[in-house]
Amino acid sequence: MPVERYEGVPFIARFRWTTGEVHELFLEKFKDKKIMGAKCDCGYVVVPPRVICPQCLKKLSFDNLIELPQRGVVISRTDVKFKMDSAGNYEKAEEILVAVKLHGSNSTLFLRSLEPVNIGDEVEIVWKEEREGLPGDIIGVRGVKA
Amino acid sequence: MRIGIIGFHALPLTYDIEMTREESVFEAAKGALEAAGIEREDIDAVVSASSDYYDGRTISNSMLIGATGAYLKDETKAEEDGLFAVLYAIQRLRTYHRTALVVAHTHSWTFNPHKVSTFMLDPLFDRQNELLNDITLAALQANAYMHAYKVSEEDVALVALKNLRNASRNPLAYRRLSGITLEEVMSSEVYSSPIRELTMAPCCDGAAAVVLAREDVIRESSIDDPIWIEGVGAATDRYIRDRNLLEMESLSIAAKKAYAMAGVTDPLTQIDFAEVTERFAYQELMIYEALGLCQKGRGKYLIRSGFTERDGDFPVNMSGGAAGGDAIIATGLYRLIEAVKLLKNGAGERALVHSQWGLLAQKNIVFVLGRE
Repeated sequence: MPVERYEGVPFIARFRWTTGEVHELFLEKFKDKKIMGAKCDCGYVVVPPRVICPQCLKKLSFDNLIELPQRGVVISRTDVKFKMDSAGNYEKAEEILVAVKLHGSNSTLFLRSLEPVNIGDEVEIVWKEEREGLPGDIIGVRGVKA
Repeated sequence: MRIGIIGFHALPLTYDIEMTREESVFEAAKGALEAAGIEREDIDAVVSASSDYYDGRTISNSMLIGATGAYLKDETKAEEDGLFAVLYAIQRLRTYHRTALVVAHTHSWTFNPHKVSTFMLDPLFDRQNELLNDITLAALQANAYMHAYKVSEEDVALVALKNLRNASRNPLAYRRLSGITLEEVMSSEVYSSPIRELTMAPCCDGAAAVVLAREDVIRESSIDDPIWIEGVGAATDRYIRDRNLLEMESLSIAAKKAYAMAGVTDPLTQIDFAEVTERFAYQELMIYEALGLCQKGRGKYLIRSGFTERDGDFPVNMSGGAAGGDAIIATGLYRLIEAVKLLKNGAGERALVHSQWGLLAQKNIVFVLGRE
């Protein structure tokens, strides 16, 4: 006899986080199509900017913020064939996800690519028409014609 | 003072198990105590491993106190792989306790574990990208690694084939595909290129337990044939954005610590075999490199030459590894138990056990086990 399964009490948890001042500025600058990183004295450039250097653990602040170029290089790519809904069910998908290092940055960003690109290709950030200072302001990347 | 493993028990890995979490944990704990020949009253400390997210309740250990026999005892939980729970238990035995029971479980059918992986992402940026999860991140790491070191899809499929063949002989394995071929691996469904259904560990349900004791306790109770924990090392890497995706640096550090504690200077000649946690087949190649079995980028030659096959010079995952069934939190304990069984069956004198936790194996832990 199979046992009966219960779906459970519908559980929707909404969380609110404080972004911290530096990350708030990072998002705010999206409105002006700007990407800020934090450059440590050790030379490491972290994006999104953080208040501790991931390389040498030194404290970083507003003084370390620099504007980064909106172009970078694809360091990896995958063709995503599925997505998951909020309940964890799979749906078919056809999307491209890339790992990108913006020029002058040591961090890797994981972004959607709007067109097929390969490892080593130069790409640029694509912004939403109306930006609100949210992560979704960056739609993804697209290739830069040589 | 050494710590020995004196009893263990693992449930067969399965999916959609018709047991409650308490029932499976109870069966694993009871089996391990029976194997050790001791009673619940003889246990000083209990360390469990489970996850609030996978279990769908916070303080996931609170309902397990009866099942693990931890009632009114020193009890704690690792919300990580079971091998980290073993490390906690060792720390307790090294300070003041005589015996400890470690139990780990995951019921994967409760909630898709790959969905849980998205809750490990940085909530303020990465989690807003609906394409990111442990599978797509692994795909990005795999492609970067394969591109950098000219590793082919076939090399990766050979790892999966080795592990699936080994799993088909393991009675505890969940995914047993007898007669599996390279073509079947390479034509299985793509989740996110190059990750395919058969180059990815299948999430499943499982529970496992081990009993640990201090060397003096083992000597005075004249327990025969304990397996000794000769070395242990653990290390944690940075978040995925600020990590070199081409290597497992924290695993290299963990392995070096474990080797130093065990007095291992050359793992290839001083260790006989390994049981490792490869959630994705390509990871096993990176694991070879991090464990110092070969140089960076040369893992492909170990799989091509059959070096890590069950009849090779240094067998890896004779049990089938995570490819045979990944009960997430319990997977490290399954690897440990498989290694202990192999040592007891005469497969060698020394074994290496590895497990991992977090996105793209952010944390790694290595044990060196030995017989008398």
